[in-house]
Amino acid sequence: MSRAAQGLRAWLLQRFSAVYLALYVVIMPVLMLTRDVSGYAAWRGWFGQPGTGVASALFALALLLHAWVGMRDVLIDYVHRVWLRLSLLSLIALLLLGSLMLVLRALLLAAVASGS
Amino acid sequence: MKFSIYRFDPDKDSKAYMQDYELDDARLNPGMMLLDALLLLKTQDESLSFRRSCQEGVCGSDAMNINGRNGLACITRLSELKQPVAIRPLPGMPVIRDLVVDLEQFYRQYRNATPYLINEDPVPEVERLQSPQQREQLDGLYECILCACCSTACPSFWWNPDKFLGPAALLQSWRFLADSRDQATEQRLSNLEGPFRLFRCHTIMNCVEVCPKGLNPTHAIGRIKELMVKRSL
Amino acid sequence: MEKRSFDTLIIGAGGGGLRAALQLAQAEARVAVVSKVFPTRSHTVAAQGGVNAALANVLPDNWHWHMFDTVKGSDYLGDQDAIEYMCRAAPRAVYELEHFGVPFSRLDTGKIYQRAFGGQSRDFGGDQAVRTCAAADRTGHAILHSLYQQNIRARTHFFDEYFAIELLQNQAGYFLGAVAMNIASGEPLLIEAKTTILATGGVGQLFRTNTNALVNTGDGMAMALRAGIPLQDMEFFQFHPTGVAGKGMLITEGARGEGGYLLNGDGERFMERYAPNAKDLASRDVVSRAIATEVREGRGVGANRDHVLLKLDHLGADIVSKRLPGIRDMVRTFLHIDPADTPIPVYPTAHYTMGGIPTDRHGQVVVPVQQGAEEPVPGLYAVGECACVSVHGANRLGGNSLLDILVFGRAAANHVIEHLKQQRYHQPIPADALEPALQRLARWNRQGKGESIAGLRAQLTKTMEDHCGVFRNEEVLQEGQNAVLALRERLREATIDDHSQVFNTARIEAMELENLMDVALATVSSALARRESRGAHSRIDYPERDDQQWLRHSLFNLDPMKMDYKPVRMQPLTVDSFPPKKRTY
Repeated sequence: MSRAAQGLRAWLLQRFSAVYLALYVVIMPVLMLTRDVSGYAAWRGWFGQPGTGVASALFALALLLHAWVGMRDVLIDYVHRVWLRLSLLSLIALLLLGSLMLVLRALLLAAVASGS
Repeated sequence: MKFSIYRFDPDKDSKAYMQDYELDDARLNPGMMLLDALLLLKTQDESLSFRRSCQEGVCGSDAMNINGRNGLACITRLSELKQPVAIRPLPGMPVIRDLVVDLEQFYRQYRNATPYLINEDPVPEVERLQSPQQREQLDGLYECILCACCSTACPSFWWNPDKFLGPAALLQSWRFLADSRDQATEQRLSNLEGPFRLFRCHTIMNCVEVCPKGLNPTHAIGRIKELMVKRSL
Repeated sequence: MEKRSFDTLIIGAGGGGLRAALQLAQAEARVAVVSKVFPTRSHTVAAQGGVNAALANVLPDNWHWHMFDTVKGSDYLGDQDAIEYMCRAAPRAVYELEHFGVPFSRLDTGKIYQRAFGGQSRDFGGDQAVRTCAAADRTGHAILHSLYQQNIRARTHFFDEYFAIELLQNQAGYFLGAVAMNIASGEPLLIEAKTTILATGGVGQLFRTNTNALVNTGDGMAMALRAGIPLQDMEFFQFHPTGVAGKGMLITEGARGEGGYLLNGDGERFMERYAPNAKDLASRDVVSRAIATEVREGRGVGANRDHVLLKLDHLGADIVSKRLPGIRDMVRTFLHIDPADTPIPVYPTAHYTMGGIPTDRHGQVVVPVQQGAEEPVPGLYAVGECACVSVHGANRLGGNSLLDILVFGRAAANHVIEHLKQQRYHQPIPADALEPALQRLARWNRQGKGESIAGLRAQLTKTMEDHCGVFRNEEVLQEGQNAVLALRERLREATIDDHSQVFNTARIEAMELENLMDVALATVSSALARRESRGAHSRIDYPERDDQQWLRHSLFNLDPMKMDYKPVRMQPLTVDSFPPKKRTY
């Protein structure tokens, strides 16, 4: 990774992802109030719609990037032993990627279900 | 008036301790600064060591931690201090003796900020022109006295003093980026890239809080980031 | 003892030392700068008002008018060849600073801002000139930091927080470097050098109330004295008209340059009586005497009628905060008043050492050789306030001290560069050359009870203030000299309790007091000997200037203690001499 990617770009990514996260957590509940999402089927149907699905996938991605930069910052600040920092960074990367996979899988399943 | 002062002389102490001092109120007068009190205490105990020089807040020698807050002893009013006045060396730096800390790390980061004007044009026989508005950009930047109050109050600097430039050096960085006569913008910005030198700043703003000259390093750091973004788009 | 070798050793990292170091480093000489404080903490940092140069950015000007003002300001005691050299070099010195990055204030034209300062005229004594180049009221800070920054760029080698103990010389009188002490470790260090430049600044700490930093203890002057070099014109000590009364912080002459003026207890603008033309911008000696006279005659201000007021409130908050931001800050901090609303209480305060180590205009230290003409001392230079070139003579003009350090810092370095071409190798250091330094260090390891350093220092500064102030006479000076001699004897028996090797400031202060004692003796003895009034030296018993007998430089020798004299160099380099005239403003 270039130094630019680790510095300015990481910092920008954190800011932009934060903006998206903020928008999402404000707009989604509002939208939720305007429709009936009581019950598993309605809930799943709503998330199966392309708009909601893509927005939520982006949300998961933004959350992952935001968390990654944030956790990386914490580790850079506090963990100074290189091998320990590397191991922790790898562990966090795995966890974050795993979580992303799970979210994407759920969204995909919802989309498939509502499409059928 | 009562004081509690950090003492450590590696020549004879195995570890640091706080020593109580008392100054006869008859020797105090209104308007006295903390440095005046320290100088009086030194006449009672000449082994008490601290740096001092100008006594008016321009040389930056007598930075110390006063009741938990970094500041210059020579412009800190005694009457505004809660007793006993707890005086410690600047936090996070290796202590040489008593209130004297080793500032080499701080100076090294200052040098790392390329703190000098770079202009590769042929040297004119008169001054380079600069409008009053361009010159105004340097106000709030060039006045830094390198006292180290800010950097040693910055948690990011405590955590990575060898990699993070710290608020004082970054303020200088912006002082030259903001100078219309300087031509090394690209070089300066690329020097600040990466996760450490600039981006360890988490806008905690302790630097602004303690600066005895009322300068604002956090704002300067923000301006550097702003310029980086502009340049990268 | 650890030994390091350099082409040039510079002692002192103020503006003079750093300007010389930069010139040498750029010429690829190996240069070491020894300073007892981190360079940007040197006292140049406190200079406020500006540096004089006839740039003519605001009003017509030329170096010849500047030269006239400097000669007249010196009360004709300045050497006119050196003054011509300095005034001619001034514009270039300032432009160089601008190129180094000094953030000068600017005019609307984009050129360097210049302000009016005391004792400066156009057309040889005509209307007020505007000649002082300024970075707000922090010019010294701006210059010192820029010079340090350029030295970082040039990779000058710094020994920060090393205290110079003694100069080294061989039997032939050649200077070979110095012994310094690492303050943090207490370890001595031998620094061998083909040339040594003293740039240790002035000795304002001689006086109880002064505008100077605590570090201004005349270390270089005292080392030179002990090495057998006389000190020149030490009786001329400048009292700045506007130190904060009773405290001493400096209020720049620029405050009056921007339009401020002085008021006595009757609310009268009294400078109109003393200097009908220049008024508040007369020379410093004139204004200081006027203030002291007002107070002596009962027209002071305050409960004790012991000071006067500097009025700035008519300038408006905008000018005050734009042109004098540092002054506004400082007055608010120390006096809890805003000078934009309330006049500042001021009184003449010890400020600047006109005298010092005698040098020529190349910065070479010069001494008379057996009644004959003076000759350079091989290997030794001095620049700045510790030196006496002499461009300031009996009274320095405001704005000429920053100029002095720049011009002669550079000139000395250039001369050193030439000298180094001939002096290819270090001369051997004789074993006994280290002896004085080692003795001086060992002396403060002495155990036992003696008088305290702080007590003796307080008595010395009180003595100097009472006996060597703005107005002097034979009796008071004689008492003063006796008192200093007695204090100097008592210092030999003094001891310190702190014998730690680590950052032992008690030991540093003891050695600084030794330096102060020697320079105090030079000052009071030179003042006692000069039976006339000239510039800053005002003798009530000899109120007139006496050019017949006293148009000559004083030289004080320490061992054996005696006064010597040498003629003033009245012949400039290229222009006609300015003969002594009655001095009015």
